[in-house]
Amino acid sequence: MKRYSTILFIAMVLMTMSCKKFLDEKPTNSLAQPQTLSDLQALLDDSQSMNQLRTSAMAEGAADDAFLPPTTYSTFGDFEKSVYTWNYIGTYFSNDWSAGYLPVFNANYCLDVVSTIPVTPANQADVNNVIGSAHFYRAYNFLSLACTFTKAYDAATAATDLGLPLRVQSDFNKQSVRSNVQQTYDQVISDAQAAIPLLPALPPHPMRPSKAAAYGLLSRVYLYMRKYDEAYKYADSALKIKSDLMNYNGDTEVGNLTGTALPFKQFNKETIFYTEHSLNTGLVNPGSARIDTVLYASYAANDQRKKGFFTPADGYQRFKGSYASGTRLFTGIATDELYLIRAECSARKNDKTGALADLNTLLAKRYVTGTAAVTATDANDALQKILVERRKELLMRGNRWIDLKRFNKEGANITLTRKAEGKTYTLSPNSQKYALLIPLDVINISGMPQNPQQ
Amino acid sequence: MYKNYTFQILRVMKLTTLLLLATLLQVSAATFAQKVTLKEKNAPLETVLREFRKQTGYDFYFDQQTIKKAKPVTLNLNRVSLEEALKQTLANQSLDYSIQDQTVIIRDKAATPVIPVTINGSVRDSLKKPLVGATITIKGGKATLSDDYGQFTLSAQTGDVITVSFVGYRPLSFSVTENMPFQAIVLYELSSKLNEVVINTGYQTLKPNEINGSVSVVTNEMLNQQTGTNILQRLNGVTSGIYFNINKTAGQSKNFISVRGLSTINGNGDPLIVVDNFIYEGDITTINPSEVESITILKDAAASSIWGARASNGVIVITTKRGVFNQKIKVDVSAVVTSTQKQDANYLPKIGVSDYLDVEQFLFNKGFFNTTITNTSSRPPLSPGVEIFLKRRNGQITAADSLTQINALKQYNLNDQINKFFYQSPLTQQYFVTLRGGSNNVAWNMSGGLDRSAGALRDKNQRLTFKFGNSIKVSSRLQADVDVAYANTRTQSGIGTTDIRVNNRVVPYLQVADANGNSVPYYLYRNSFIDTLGKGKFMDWHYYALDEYKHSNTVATLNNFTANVGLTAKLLAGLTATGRYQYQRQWTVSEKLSDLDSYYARDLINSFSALNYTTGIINYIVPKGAIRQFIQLNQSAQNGRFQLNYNHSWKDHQFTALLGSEIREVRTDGTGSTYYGYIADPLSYVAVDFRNRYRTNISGATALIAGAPNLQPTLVSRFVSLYANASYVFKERYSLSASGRRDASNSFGVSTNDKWNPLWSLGAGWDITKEDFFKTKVINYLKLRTSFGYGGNVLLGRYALPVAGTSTDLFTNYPYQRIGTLANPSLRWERTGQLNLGVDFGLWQDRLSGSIDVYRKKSTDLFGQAPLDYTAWGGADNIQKNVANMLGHGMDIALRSRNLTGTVGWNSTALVNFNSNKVTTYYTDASATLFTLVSASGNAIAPAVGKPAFALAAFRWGGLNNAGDPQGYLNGKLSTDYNAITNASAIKGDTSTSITYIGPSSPTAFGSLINQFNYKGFELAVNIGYRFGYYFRKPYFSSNALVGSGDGSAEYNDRWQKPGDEAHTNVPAFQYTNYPQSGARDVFYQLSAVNVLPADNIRLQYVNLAYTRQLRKLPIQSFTVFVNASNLAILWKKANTPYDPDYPTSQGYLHNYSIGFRATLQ
Repeated sequence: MKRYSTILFIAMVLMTMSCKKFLDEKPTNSLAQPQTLSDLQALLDDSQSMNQLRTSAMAEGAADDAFLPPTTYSTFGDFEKSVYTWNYIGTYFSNDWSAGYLPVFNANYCLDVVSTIPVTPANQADVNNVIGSAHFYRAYNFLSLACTFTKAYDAATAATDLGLPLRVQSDFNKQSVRSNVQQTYDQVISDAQAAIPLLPALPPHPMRPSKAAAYGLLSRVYLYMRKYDEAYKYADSALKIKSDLMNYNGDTEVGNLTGTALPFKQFNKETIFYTEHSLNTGLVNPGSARIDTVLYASYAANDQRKKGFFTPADGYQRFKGSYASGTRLFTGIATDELYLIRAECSARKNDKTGALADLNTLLAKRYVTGTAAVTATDANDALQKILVERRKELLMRGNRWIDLKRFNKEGANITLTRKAEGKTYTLSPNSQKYALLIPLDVINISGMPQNPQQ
Repeated sequence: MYKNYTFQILRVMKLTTLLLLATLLQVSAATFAQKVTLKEKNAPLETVLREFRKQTGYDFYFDQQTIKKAKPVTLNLNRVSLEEALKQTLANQSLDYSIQDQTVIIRDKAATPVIPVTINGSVRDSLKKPLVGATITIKGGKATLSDDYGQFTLSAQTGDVITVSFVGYRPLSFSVTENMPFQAIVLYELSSKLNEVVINTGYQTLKPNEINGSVSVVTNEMLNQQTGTNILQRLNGVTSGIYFNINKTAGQSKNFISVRGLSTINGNGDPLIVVDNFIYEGDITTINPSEVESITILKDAAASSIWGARASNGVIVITTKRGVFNQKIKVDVSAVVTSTQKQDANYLPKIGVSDYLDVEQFLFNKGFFNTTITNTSSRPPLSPGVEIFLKRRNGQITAADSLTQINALKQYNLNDQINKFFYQSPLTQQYFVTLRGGSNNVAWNMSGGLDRSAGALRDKNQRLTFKFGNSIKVSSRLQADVDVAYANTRTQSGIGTTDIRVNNRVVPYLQVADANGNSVPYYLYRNSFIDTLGKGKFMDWHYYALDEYKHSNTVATLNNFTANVGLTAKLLAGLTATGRYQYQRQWTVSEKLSDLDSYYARDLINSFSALNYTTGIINYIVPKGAIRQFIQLNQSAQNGRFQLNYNHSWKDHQFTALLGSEIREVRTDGTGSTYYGYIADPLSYVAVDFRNRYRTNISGATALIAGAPNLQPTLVSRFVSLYANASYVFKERYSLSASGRRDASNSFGVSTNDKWNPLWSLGAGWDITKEDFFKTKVINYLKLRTSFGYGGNVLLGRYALPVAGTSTDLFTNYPYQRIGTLANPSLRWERTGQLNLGVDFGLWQDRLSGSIDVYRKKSTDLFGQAPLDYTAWGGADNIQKNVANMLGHGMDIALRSRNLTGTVGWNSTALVNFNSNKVTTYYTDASATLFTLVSASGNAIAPAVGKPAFALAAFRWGGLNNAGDPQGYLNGKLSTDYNAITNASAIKGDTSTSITYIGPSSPTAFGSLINQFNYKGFELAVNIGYRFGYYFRKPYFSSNALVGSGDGSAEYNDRWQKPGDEAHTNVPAFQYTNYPQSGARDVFYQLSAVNVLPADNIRLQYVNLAYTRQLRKLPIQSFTVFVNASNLAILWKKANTPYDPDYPTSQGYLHNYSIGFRATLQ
């Protein structure tokens, strides 16, 4: 009997000792715990989380490229109306804040986990791509969020202006704390800089980041910071890698310009990095938004964009010029934007020739062949013409709001006006309302200060 | 803890009295408890000993001459052991006693001379049939067997004790004296159910006095007072502390019974179900109630915490019938037929057909149907009425024709047709047979059951169950148990009534059958479109509601197989080891076969048919043939358990302990597939292209063919547990018990598994009646109990790991992963701490007995969605955390009285339960406000801090204004600005003047009164149940529903129609606003206080009349015939309303009438 009990006792001990391994079984095979290098790359390759429907549409809806006809306006909800009329009431999940912070989490998760993976010569390139991509995505989304939720960069006040909560770790238990605008832009720059040496010059697919994309991102940041020398430098670096432009006068990648169909191929040769506006507000949806009539009228008859970008809808014009597909709106980095940045920076550096060269290179592909030759009396005249073309080329791509902020900082003194349901609303230059309300639930839970609205 | 067995005891007592005649010795036997309580003054010794026999069930042997010479006895015994009683009794006598087996021998202290005696005798059963091969043994010596005539001869000596035994019969003993005459011995059959109540916790079996926890045992007899096919339903109304949640849903609950109220908010609220020692993961409907011997309900922590992380909701332990050693083969058969009341489609009164047509015309004239009429993408059908109005509008018919045709529609009533052609009275038949037997070394049982039912809508259900069990004593130290069970249930779908709508609108004048009962075709697309599409080349595109089930039918088959092996070894004195292993596999196959005549197949084939209008040739993208859809779900569970049991008693001490470990895995997976052009025999099917999109004929859009094969992910839950339980009793009065259990699981977070955080309980009990100072004749039993401890609740399917789904990106073709749930490494089980105070009592020799338990439950770490600062992760604004707390308290009272004990017996049982709970912490802003309860249905958990989990609040009601609009309160003033009222309430919450808290929507007091009467073989049981202290929302008239879906409550008739009506009605005026119909006014009225009513009600739950006859003849030993009626009537309800408070929106209670018999054969 004693022997029996000894055996049984040993069996019992073994049973409980082996439990550790027994409990390592995954609860379901439909789920994976992302741990390996290929898992991390796969997280970054989730274009639905990382590229599609990401960048803020609220800011585009608040800007002045598009408007809502009265019958459409009345069908919108209070939140949308409040954005449209700059009397923000705030919103709850899901929204542009969550859309932007999702890729930030994935980037942070990858950076946290990749540090636990030993680097070998064999996996060096893959590790580089994961780390570089993660830094890029984080920078890209911080910049997009900053355009919407922080004031325009102003070197004089950046250290005190409220910035974004800069989440750089994936631990959700860490409290969100707002940085200042200086720190926010510094973070974007350092992340983008970190990405450059790690990424390939051009990506295998525009949904993936690349050196060219990182340069493009840096040229955007510096442009928004009004540091035009750096903006020039990085736009130039990007264009040195990729400078293709589609010719709107019959390019294999451009379809029929007339009609309701979208003329531009998705992932066309101008696209360096692909993202889209979020759909968290219908304000910018081409189905309901109509193009500002003055803006539309500013397109010349020989401008192929007038046909390619617009189609009539209920007495107005709707936008169909996106580099995305369907009703989605492209907001990524493309060569046309880089030409315009380089042209603007040249003009601001008083280089009229350089500025016009870039502008005309672009416009030659936009106007009816042989009809676009912009001249200017001086660099400033060139600048004004470039800015006009910038607005006409990049509409509905998420640039207008930050441009308004930037131009007003430069003294443009632009006042926006809107009429809705018999009332007139205005947005004065440099208004605090250029930094939209952070979602109310985020403020409630985190205790972060809200953007002041006076 | 209460005992449900009192009634049985009385019945069996008669069986066991026996006197041996024609001898100086007297032999008697009885069965009962072993404790002795007696107070006598100068009583004859014989009287005293007879009383001892009655109380203990021990046999007594004595020489009457000797006993008569003994001195009178004076005693005061209070629940002492028999030995103690004998010691006191014989203290001053010249007598001695000895106890052998269950026999007490009293003899003179003076040595009796030993004289050899030859004994002759015969052994017969109670029917005077000779028992061949009975064993006649001299205690500690030789033995012989009875011969073919049941006779025997044996040599013995005076003073020897001789035992006569036979398998399946109660052994009998007598002492040898001089001059023994012929011994005519009669052996009585062992009653298979010994009347001792056994509490089975799933880990050990205990006697009622060995546990300090709160436990209810429902005996086979009580289970038989109801006749349903679901074992759990038979617990309804017959035991305390358990409540059947009617119409309620909660988290992951399936059966949704609650033991002592809710302990969870988002988790599974079902009690843990244990069948024969192991957690039952399968479908409870596979258990045939006839297989069940008894059910033990573990209610408090001391009783249930042995089940650890799964015990929080209480535990229901089901014990099935097993064979008994030393029992003759016995066959029990039973048959029950139950007829259920026919359902009534008119049960919930609706707007009349004529009124409906008026509304339809009104809507038509307003242009409401214009978008439907011009819809060319889905081609929705129009109701016959609207078709007529349209023809009139288009000038195709005259006004007079239109009127005639509309009036013709008014004679139809769809619900009458549904009653006539669809509904039938459900009929259920239940048959069961079980065979049991056992020898000295083997006990076995076999059973088989067949249940069939024909449902209300020609659906069919069948259940087949087989069970085989075997216990073998391999040696004196080793016993093996092997059990195998198989169940098969088959469900065949019947007629669907939900399809009988037009474009999702209720149309009460539709016809399903003509005057001859033939199916009337109707359209699921616009008739003018379908009739011309395809130029007659397509198959008939009509829908035949009455016939569809004949051609398209779903058969779901569930198979459950369970095998269980156990080994029990006696290691040392008092120490045993048990190893058990169980494998359970359940697979469910659901097969929908739609033949070519089914609408389902015709519609799909037609939709995809590519017709070449020039050649008239159809290319069948979906093959022209039957369609077979197939889904299989598999579940397997494996359990291993190893346990050491230790029992030791010495002097005044009694110690029991067990220590065990358990390992468990549950795995589920499944597949689904669809076969087109299917022919069963010879088997053939046609491959279709699931990948490409094809043009469909209705909208012209392209679509994928549905039914691509799919694989369900494999889910694996694994648990490892260690548990221990110990109890110590001192002087049979003071008892202490403790248990602890530690669980680890692959779905808990790593940090939880590593913390080694056990769930535990402590209990203490005091049997006051055993105390010397306790002297009263009134109270014969009084035990105080208290316990405290913790149970857990596991939310399966929640993961502590950051887990990502994988797929391939459509644009890049790169594999991608997407994190669906944030990692929460500290996710752990929910915990419920429960304090229980209880008293068990018996008065006037158990004439009145019962128990009262008061408990308080505190559930912490409840799963809930805690708000997430989604700056951290944009994927969700909440995260599963252990965030919420709730508090519950209540009282369970069970009282049993024997009102009459003569020829006419009358026993009453009163079950009284109080239970209330409130959510104390819940981490979302919305839930913290009372407004959550305004929008709550009352049937789902709506966590609002400070309020019960099931509760209702409502908009304050200000009556109708003189325009027929409902009025609420805004800032204390009457208002019809419904959006403002809603906004004020939602934001201001508790402080709002616009809303008012009403109360719980689940009963806070409930129970039943069971009266049992018996006269000779007749027994009548009547169960009256009550539920008090809760509220329900009654159905209401909604203009929005009438406009949008044609669904009009009969309240329409009471609606406000003209100024002044507001004085006598609360039903708002019918309103039509331009599309979209504004719902705010309807919603306000729906959720206002005027529509919330008290739900308190008393019901006649069941009446059971049984006649039992003990024949003691071959082959029928006994039989019972019974009739049963259940769900009979609401006897009283507090609210003056036509609605059933528990089923306001459906015909929940249907009367059931059963007739059946049970018989025991041999």
